[in-house]
Amino acid sequence: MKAGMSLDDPSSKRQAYRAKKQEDRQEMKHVKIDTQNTANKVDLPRKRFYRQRAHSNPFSDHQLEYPLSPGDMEWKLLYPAFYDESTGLMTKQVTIADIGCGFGGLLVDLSPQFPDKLILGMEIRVQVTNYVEDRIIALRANNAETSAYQNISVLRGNAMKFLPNFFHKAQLEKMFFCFPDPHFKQRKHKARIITNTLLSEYAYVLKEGGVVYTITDVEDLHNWMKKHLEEHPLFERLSSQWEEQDACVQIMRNATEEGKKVARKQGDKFIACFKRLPTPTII
Amino acid sequence: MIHPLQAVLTTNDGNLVFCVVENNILVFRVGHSGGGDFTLVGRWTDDADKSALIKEKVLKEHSKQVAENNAKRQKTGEAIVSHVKVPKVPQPGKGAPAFYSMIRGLTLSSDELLLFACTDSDKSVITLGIDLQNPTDCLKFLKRQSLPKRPNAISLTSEESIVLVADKFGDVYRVSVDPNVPAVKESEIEPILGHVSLLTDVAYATDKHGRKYVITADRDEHIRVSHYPQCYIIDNMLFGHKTFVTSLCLPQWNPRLLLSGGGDAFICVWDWKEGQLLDSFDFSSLLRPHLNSSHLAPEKFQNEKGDLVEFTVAQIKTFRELNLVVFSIEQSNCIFVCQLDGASGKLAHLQTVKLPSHVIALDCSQSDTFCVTMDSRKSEDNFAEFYTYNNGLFRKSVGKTDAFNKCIVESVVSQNLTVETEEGIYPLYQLKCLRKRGEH
Repeated sequence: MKAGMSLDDPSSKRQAYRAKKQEDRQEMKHVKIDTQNTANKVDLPRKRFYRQRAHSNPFSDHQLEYPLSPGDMEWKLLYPAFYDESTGLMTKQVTIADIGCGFGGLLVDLSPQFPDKLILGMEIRVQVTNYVEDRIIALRANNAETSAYQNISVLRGNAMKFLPNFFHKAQLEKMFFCFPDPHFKQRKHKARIITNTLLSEYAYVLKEGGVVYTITDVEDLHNWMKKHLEEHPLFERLSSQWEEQDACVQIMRNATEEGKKVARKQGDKFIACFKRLPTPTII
Repeated sequence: MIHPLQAVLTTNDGNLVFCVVENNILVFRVGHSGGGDFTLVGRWTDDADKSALIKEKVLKEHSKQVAENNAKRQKTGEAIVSHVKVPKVPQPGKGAPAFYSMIRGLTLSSDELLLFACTDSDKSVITLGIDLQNPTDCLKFLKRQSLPKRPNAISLTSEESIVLVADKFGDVYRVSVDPNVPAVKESEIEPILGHVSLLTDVAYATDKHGRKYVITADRDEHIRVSHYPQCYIIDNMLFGHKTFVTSLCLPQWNPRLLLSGGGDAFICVWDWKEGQLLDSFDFSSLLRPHLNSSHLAPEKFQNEKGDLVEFTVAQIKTFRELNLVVFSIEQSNCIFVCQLDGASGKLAHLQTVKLPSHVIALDCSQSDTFCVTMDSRKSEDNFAEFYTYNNGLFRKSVGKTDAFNKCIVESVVSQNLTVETEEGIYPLYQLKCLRKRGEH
């Protein structure tokens, strides 16, 4: 950590900002926002206060919170507007997941596209998750009249390890992998988010006909993801015509922070989408 | 000082006892005379030399670097350096952590003519032939299949000569242990399934329709049921454990059921095909009188009162026909015996067997007898004990136990397998290190 960046420094602006937001978050996170108390608009969080290292080791023992099983997950805390108090049940299940959602650009743009679907972002970095959380809180508060952004939420988690703790078999319709960590070194390839063995787990939580979206600016990684998805018996590449007409592909290309950064630098963006095939007959 | 027996396995008839002592596998045979005396009939030592492997790696990396540098020089037009120093192979210095060539996962083929094991030294699965006609040594080394990462558990499949091996990197490999099939190059072997967590156990199972499955357990409290050989199809996840899982066991007489245990104070009984938890048997009150100071949580993670205990189920075993379950807790001096109701899957405590010292390994291959090996550091003549089921309880087979311990002392001394100090003893309790301490 650079000098002057100490987290214990009481004069640190970032420290003060984070502490303030933490308090607000505790208060705001799980409340249903009524149209009455929207007199004062909530400021959108400022990204510079949430900076964190770009990488996180997926193999280390993070202090993570995750449900014992998908049935134990309290979704009402994440999507209060979709909780029916009379039955005590959720009216909708999460069907779209953005794995490694970063600063949440994709979530925010997908939200109006799929107003009747619940979309979940998963992110392993604490501060980045906090940012997305604050962003969603602000968006929900500022759009209370239209009840927009009630269908998106974020949680901190390690999707490579605990995806089956959150989702039932065949629960998801779409999974996004946008600009994942490329892990260039050969010996770090197991840390990549797309591997033969992990794909079986993604196929488990995806329903038949569900779609895996991948986008990256690193050609090597694109080839790697393509190769592994093509080799996996439960996935099939979707045609470029399909990609052209799909709304999510357009959003993915333009919405995410990484996507914008790449566009600014006029870099390439490689996209590949795959369909979850029907489970074959068991031998 | 005689080294404790780190692992034990017997044949179904109990006539042969395989033990691991340091990096050796010893085979003892019950005498023909019927007197129950044992003789040492075989020994195999894992003497794989790691330095050759390291040397190969170092030289490969070196030549790669030289080639890269030369390519760079060629681009920039510099002269190519022809004399490059050959690198030294690194040698562990003083104070480097000791290396132990552990032998894990002793498994017999179904005809009991082959013995399989995992070795740490060169991360491989070995096949040993058992030939009792050979008067000098019944073990014959047949095959060695190296794997990319350290293998941790092994399971037989219904296909003869194929075993499933789970490694510490989280992958499962399908390995041919047939000595007539040449070993595959380590770089060419592909995992059939994988977790993003250390794998602790693997089991092979078939359902009532004859469909085949692989069940894997990891350090992230997950138990996964995948189809076999279509291992890319995950059938189910078994959720119930709150900490790491160490041991899986399918009772041979009722393979619908699966028992699992680990860092939790309970044993789970599953209908694994239906994904249903049938019983969660809490043994903490049974264990309480047998806890000792080694079960206290490390200081850094201890509570204010200093009474936080942590314990780990080391092994769960069942018998071929008896509806009994035997399990051991790491570093405790007792073994719990439970009755398993095949219909409901409920466990009921039957007996607690008290041992003279801490349990290390357990084997239930015989129909009504289990063998347990113990930490013999404190009581020099108790290496192993045999218990036989009789009239509803397990009782110590005194004659067999005494004869076996006597044979251990004689043969280990004659084989020059004694260690001088306690430092020379291999780590016996490794499971508790699997407990997670969240970092950030």
